[in-house]
Amino acid sequence: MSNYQPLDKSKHQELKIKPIHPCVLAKEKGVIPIGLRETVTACAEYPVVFVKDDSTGQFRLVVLVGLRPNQSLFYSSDGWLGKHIPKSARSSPIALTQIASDEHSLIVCVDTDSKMLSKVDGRSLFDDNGAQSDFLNELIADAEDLYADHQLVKPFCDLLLEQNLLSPFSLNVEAEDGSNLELKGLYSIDEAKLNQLDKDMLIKLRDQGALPFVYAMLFSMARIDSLLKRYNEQSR
Amino acid sequence: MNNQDSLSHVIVVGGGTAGWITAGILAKRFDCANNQSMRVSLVESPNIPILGVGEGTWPTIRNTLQSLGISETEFIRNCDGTFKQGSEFVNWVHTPKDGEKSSYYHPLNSVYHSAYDFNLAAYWLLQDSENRQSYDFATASQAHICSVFKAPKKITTPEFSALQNYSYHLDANKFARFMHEHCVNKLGVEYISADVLRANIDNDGYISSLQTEQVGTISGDFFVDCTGSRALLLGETLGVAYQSIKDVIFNDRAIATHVPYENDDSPIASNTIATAHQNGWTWDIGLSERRGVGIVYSADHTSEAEAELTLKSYIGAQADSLSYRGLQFESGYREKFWKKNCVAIGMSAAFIEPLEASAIFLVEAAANMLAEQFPSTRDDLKYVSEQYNDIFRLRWDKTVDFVKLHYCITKRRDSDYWIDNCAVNSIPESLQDKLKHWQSHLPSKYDFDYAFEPFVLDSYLFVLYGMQFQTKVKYISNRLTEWEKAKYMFDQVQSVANKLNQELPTHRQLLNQVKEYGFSTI
Ligand SMILES: Cc1cc2nc3c(=O)[nH]c(=O)nc-3n(C[C@H](O)[C@H](O)[C@H](O)COP(=O)(O)OP(=O)(O)OC[C@H]3O[C@@H](n4cnc5c(N)ncnc54)[C@H](O)[C@@H]3O)c2cc1C
Repeated sequence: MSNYQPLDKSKHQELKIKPIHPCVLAKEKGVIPIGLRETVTACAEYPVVFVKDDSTGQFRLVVLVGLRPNQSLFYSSDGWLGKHIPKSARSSPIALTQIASDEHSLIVCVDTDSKMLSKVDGRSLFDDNGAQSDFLNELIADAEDLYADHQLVKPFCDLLLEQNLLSPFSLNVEAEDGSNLELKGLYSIDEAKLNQLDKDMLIKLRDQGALPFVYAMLFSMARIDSLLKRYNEQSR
Repeated sequence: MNNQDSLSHVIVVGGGTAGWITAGILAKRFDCANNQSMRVSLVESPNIPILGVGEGTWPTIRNTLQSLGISETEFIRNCDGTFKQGSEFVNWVHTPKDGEKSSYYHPLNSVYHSAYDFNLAAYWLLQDSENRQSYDFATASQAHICSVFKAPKKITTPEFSALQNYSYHLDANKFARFMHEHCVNKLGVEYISADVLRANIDNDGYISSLQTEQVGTISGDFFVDCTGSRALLLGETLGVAYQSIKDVIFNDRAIATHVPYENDDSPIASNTIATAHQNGWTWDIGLSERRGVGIVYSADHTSEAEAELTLKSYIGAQADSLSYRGLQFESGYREKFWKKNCVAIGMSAAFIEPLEASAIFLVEAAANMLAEQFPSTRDDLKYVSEQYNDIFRLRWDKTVDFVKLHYCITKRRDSDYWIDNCAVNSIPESLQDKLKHWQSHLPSKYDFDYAFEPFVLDSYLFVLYGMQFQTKVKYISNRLTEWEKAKYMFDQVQSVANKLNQELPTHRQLLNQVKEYGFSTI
């Protein structure tokens, strides 16, 4: 469990962070949320698709790391098996949260239950004078970056919906061992509709900077085969 | 105007549910927002309020809203909309003993229950009548879902799609405002606020223009009378008489009120609750912000004071703090609905007491047919209007039969109201014939073979066997051969019900999610 508290120099001055391997968060997750810009790196290794959040119905941009619900083909106790570790799967005790009353201001929080925290080992969050350490500043910058990148997903998704470019699909493949692997409730770019898009709309996509991500998502579909290969290798 | 001139300007008079649905469907079909060749105007009196009741719809409304380009989320948010999965009929079967309650569901589902292809009713009838499940629970997973206040879909289900078939409950006043906005801003309907004083008739007996109090004369080529029960154009101007069906459908009065929820998380029923009383019945419709509750009764059988008492005792503790509104109506229909260049849609055309909430459904059906068959010139009018009059006469007759069915097979005998309702001479012959046939035959799809039947086999089965109608099984049993399949299907109903029960949110949860997040289009 986690317990995020607003980061407070007077309470948290002595905290240190122990580096432990960075993918503890993603053990039984078959999909991992990513931000929009992250698509560009992620598409080389994972299928990038949209799924709906069960409790809000809102779309989330995710990478598929398995071919069945809750299956991860990348998690191992020795570390992540892929080159690109999805950023939201890298654990950090530092996160940003919105203040309920004002959606534009964010506060820096620390997960006081995180196993990475210590008062003895690791790198300090605050220096001896009580100022934020460079290390903490780096963590905050990462958290801000992650947050900002995730904020870009909704406008991108709304644009795709408005242009009718998303289509639902199910992934259904047969593995070497004869098992039928199925994932439902996925949404991706509809290539046929993209090709029929009229010029003005295409220009709108380009001007809004959406096109690279649209193509990244399309290309990433070829990674389904890589997942299957990985599945076959792991189950041999 | 010449008989070959094109009919290009339609004027709808009236801005109630009927007026706006009709104007919207026509404007969409004629593409008025982008195309000047056809015009649709809607004239509404700034002084005569709309009826403002009528909160129950049929699943066709989803298609209607979607085809008008309305977002389901916006509709629900703006009209206090909720999901309706059918009706629960309480205490209709027999006179309840003190405090006792019996009920049956008429669910909308045709997804996991459709007797059209395989009629489970026969196999159900042959089960041991002491120990079997009631017909609705045995054959429809939706009855189970309704009884536990669950929603028909999830927030992840795309807009207008269903896991279990559904329609809506809505606030009629808010719906009219919502449609007004959409029709004018998105569909190109022209709005004119004015009182129509009279319609002017040309030498050939066609309406040529409207005389208004505020904006002078408005001329048009084709007129839709949506002025409510007054029927200003078809009735008053063109003299088409109203035929009462009071000898069949007795109810002619209603008292309506709004009941607040006790708190923010009181469950919201996902079905209309129609409860029979000694001299009438009450409706109970859960909207998102309040319940709409009212009593329908017959002035010949009880007084207003008596009816109000019944309603108040139904409502319970809150009853004395609410305000009540009395309404009068007479069930019946116009001799024709379309004459010359004028068609009446809504209360102006016909009204049958609201037990099966069929009015809005029939408005949609009327507007769709009008849009599809819209006459190009006056020369076309005769053919189209005759066709239209035949079809709608049939639809109304069938609706009367189905509404009457609820009354005339009851075992209630606690008042003259119920006794009179079961009198043979109050039952249309077409219904008598069917009932007689069904005493020794299973109802079949061939009993409902007409393309435009409003109520078909499943609906009849739910009501007949919900009402414990007796079909003699000895004539049926030797004709049944598919016991295995029937057993499989009965089991399927239960397992689907269990699965849905686990997956689906409560009705209130879903409404909260719709308010906060909304449905996606895909
Ligand atoms: C108790 C009760 C319960 C009901 N429940 C249901 C239900 O659950 N489901 C269902 O489908 N139906 C139900 N109905 C029926 C439903 O209420 C009506 O079908 C619906 O309100 C449509 O009404 P309307 O638009 O025809 O007329 P109205 O709502 O009466 O609108 C008439 C319009 O005409 C305008 N108008 C009138 N005269 C003039 C004039 N001279 N000049 C300009 N404008 C004029 C008015 O301003 C108004 O805009 C119920 C009815 C009753 C009585």
